[in-house]
Amino acid sequence: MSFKLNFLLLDYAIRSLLRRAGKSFFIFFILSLLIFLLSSVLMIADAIKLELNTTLKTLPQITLQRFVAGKQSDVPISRVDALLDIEGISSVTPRIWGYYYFKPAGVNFSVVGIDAYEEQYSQTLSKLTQQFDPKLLESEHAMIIGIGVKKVLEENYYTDFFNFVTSEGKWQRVSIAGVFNSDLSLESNDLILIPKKLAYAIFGMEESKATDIVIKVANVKEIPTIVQKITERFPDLRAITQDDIRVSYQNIFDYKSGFFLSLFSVCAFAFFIIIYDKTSGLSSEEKKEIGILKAIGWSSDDILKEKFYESFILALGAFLVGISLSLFYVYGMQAPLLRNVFMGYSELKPSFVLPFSVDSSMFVLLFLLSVPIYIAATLIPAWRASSLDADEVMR
Amino acid sequence: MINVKAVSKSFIQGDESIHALNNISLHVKRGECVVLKGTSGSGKSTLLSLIAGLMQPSQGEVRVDGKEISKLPEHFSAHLRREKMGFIFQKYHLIAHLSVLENIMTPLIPENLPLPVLEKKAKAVMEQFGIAHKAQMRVNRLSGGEQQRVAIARALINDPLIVLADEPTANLDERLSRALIDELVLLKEKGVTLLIATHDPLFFDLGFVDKIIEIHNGEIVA
Amino acid sequence: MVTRVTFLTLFITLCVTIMAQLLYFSTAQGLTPSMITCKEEFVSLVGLPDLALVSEAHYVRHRSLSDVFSYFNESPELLEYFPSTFVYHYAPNAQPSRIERVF
Repeated sequence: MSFKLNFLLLDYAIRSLLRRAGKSFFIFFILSLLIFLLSSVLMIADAIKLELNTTLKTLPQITLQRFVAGKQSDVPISRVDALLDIEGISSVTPRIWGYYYFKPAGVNFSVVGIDAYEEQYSQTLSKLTQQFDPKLLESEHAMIIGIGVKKVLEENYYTDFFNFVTSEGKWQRVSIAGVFNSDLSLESNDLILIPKKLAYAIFGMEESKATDIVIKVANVKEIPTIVQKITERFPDLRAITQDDIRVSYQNIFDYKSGFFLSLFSVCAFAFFIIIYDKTSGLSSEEKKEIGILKAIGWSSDDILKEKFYESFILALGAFLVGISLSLFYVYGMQAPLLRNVFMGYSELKPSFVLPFSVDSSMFVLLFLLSVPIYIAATLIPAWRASSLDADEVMR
Repeated sequence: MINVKAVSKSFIQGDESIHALNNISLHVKRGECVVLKGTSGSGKSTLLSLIAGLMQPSQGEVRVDGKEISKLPEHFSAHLRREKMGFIFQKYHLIAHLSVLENIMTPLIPENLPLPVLEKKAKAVMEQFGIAHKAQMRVNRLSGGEQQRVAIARALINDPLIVLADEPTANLDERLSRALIDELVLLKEKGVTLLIATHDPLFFDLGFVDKIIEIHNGEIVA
Repeated sequence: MVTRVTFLTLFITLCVTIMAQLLYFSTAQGLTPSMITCKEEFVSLVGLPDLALVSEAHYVRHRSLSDVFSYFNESPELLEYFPSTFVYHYAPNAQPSRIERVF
């Protein structure tokens, strides 16, 4: 039996949809809206994951944190030598970084201390920043900041320097030597890069301690073994490997999108229940029409085919409209309103220019979640009506 | 052509069982014109519906053109109806949102014929009943008589072998009724089998009627 | 027939729009190799994971490096991160007036 598209039946189906224009449009609108929301959320999530995974391999291989009484504490730098003795470790670097709370604006800055600005950094920094002034760096009282930081400082009347308040209550004036590129906004928005000595002074930390220690190994396959050796040697150290971070990136949306998706799935479920309810109580007019069609020679198959065309056109149309709108919304408009779901109410919001990332499997999933379910919700009541005796229905 | 054997039909309404037909048997030869006479509620419409395969009898069998339509699977009975029968309903049962042309073409849509072929058939039958000039008008804007003619045209588009008519002149004036009768005569001359359920006296004195069967309370009395 | 053609045209227009958007955004907003290199260099310079999407609380900003007890360390001044921040902003004095600011 060959399948040949019955264009006349298709015309009949389209006419039928247009006749019930109000109801058809309502369903079309709601279905498009649901698909629009869901695909927007999924696209944003995918784009953020892409952004994260792009730089995963350049992160430190092992990061060591010290825990005292179950809470994070500073690591003595003296341990560096002991760590270097462990076989397989090629370099050990103590780090200092933390958060600085700027009360007037109510924002947290991430502060990272790096070794004095050497030649090796100069080249990299000039590439990563705009308005870079290498001369200022030489004074060792200069910092490189993210765009978000620059904006907040400007709002608080700081244009080319900033006064940190150290832990001793003294003011530390630091010039702004450069601002990170807007391309790096998602990574660097709240960041302040300063020389280590300055970081120690601002945090009030002892110079014999470090926030954490990063380790480079000669052979990546040996990371688990090395981690084991370290924790045996220093039980108060916790190791975070690149792999742990990769897993943590994968889990980043279990919490937020789960919250959103659970609300969404309730809406979707309610929608399909409404559809089923509406169509199961087919109006007497619709039932009569089915009866008439049966009486003039249409079989149940023909009637179901017609209903299938109707629901398929509606659902597919809604799907395409939803996808099209969400592409524009996420990548063209940077998802106003919805981006707040991902960014919360923090004061420092980075520019939401997400890298383009669409996965065909996402479209397939969305299609399967919407179109077949809607078609089923329409066909089942139609089938029930068409299996009644035509005469009964027409009377 | 049509063979009805010991057919009974009951409907259940609430707690009661209504016997619409009681042990009816009749035989209609090919090309015959049979009139079912009876008052409303006598069961003539039910009998026509059973012959058309629109419902199943509670007892007995109905054969149309050799096939036991009462036992055919739904798909096949629909196909038989589409191929061989034309039904003119008492209340026309046109599809309100479609135009005259579309209503007339509707029975043959599942056949998947090319559109020009179907339109040609429809136009021919519209001209026959003088409604070709209203082809694009929606049927709910037509007068009762015009709607009746559309219903008749729809019943004839598939060149049926059997035409079943349920009170075809119920909403027509005498002039239109006589015009309809002339059409039925032409059909009979072509060899179409006619089964007409009516209580219009115009049909009882016609020369082309082969048999008049009177039904009263679900039983044949004459 | 006319309606059929209209609908078909609409469908094709939608498909073309989607294709065009995919093409445009993949070229305009896709990650170019130079951008990737920039990001990689930045991350290897700074060495800290996670994006600066949410910076109000420590355990969300550098979440891969944060520990469980962080959110019990919060000072009352700092805005904590709650799921309810999806719905309402509960710190009424989050934006102190400029008069109060002291340099």
